[in-house]
Amino acid sequence: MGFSQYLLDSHEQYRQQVRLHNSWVIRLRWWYLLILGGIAIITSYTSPHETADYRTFVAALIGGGLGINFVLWLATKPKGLRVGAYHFAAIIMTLLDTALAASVVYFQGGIDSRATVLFAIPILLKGVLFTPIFAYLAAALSSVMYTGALVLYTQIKHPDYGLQDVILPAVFYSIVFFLLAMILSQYTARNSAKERENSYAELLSLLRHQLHHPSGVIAAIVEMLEHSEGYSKLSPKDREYIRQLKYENHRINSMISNVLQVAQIKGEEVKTSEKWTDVNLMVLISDCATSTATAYKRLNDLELNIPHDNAIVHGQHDKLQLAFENIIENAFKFSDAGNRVTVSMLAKKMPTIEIDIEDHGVGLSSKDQKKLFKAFTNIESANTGTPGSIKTYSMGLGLYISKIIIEQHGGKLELQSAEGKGTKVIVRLKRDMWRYYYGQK
Amino acid sequence: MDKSKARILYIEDYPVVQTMYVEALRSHGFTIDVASDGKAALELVAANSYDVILLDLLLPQVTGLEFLREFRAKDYPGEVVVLSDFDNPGTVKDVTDLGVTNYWIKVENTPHLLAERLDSLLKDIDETVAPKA
Repeated sequence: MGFSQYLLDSHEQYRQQVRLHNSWVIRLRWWYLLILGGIAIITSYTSPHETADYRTFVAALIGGGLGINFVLWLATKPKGLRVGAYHFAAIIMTLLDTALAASVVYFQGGIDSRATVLFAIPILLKGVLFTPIFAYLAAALSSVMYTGALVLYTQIKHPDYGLQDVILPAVFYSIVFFLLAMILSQYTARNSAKERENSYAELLSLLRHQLHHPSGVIAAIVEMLEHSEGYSKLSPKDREYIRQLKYENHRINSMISNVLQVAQIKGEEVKTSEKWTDVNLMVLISDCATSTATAYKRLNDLELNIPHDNAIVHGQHDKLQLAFENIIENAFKFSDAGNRVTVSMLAKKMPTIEIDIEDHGVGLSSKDQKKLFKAFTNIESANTGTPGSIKTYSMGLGLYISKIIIEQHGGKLELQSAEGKGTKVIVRLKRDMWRYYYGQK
Repeated sequence: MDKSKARILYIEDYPVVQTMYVEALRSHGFTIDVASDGKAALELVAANSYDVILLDLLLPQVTGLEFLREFRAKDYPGEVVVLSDFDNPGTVKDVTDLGVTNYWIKVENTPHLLAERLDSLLKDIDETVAPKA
């Protein structure tokens, strides 16, 4: 494993931690406040001039830190995502932070305004930036500012202390505790994610069983009817009804699989143990296109424009394969035999690589296009909104799965379609720059 | 193995499913015993020896997995085929750890398809047993 691999792994770890921001940040705060409390104790014990007020501050710091974080810990215990409790805990924490800062000002009355500001700003920042994307930034900024405030506060309280008395020990303990906190928070976050993922998988499996079971019974009944003595005596029309029943049941079955696949893919966003490898898009897309065309017996309709290029992306092979299979299958499914299906790979401005899948089939009206992705956002939130026409439904589910996967890979999926003229799906992914410039391993 | 001579135990609790599969299997010439729960199945395997045991996992009283553990502990003879819609890796692993190589998904094995598959399984068993005999 070289340096580039190390960077890629670190980048991937970072991405996964952003997804896991709840547990990661909360646990970092937990350890951070312990560090802060530890530093405060050490500082107070090394101080010969300590006052009662100072001890109150230290007690508030430690007690508050422990209390708040116990609530946070309860809220994020790995028994599924308790978002409500998490937000509740965040609010309490903000309130207690405010009380802490207020107590500093109240007990130490007349304290230098620089220290007060340094306490107040991180609290404000935490409130404003407490969103998934900025959680990291908020945690980092408030860490730095709190430490700075503590050092400054001690300096004001004990101006006779020198650099070696306060700042150097504070920096030393900060580093030691920070490293410890990093290791522990990483470890706990990883474990809780794994447990969460397992319970999610169990739930999905149960759902799959419950949903497939009735459909399996129907399939068995239909088959028994087809093998029955009375079947041959049925009129062609009645036999056609049985055939339709079988077909529709089969459709229900595959829809169940598709919906559960969406749930599984969404669930995998919290997964940390997934393997990301080098994926050669040239091979993957050629394979997907030819195997799908063969399955639809339309190999003659397929036009492949794929350059012999090292289009390597860093990703999950099976997921990417599923994404492209869905798109290419739609192109064949929604166009008649004899109509061309074009699959092209275009090198755009580095590091972008574009894959276009174009058919000349039924297409979608602009109204249906808008409905397309919206419909499944509703499914996700268990909303019973109308999912649009059957066409958008069966086309959309596959496309929706593809969209999630492409976005998980840092890419984009765009749809251009005109009713009666056909559909063009544009996928943009980012190449692996390291592999591009430095060749294969 | 002649399928009428092969002894088969079919364990399934859901009445509609049980009736259909039994009818289909018998129409294909199989001789089968039926149990509706794990407890009754354990009594049957204690009293008889079977060539193939078709086992559902979600069963009342004694579950399919519990049946399987007991079946292995007592070292009863017979090839076990698990017939279930559960396909989560955990369950599959539990079953395969108990030495079961045939994990058939129920929804993919409608009654007559199952009968055909069972027929070829019996032939496979013959081939693996014959050289030893």
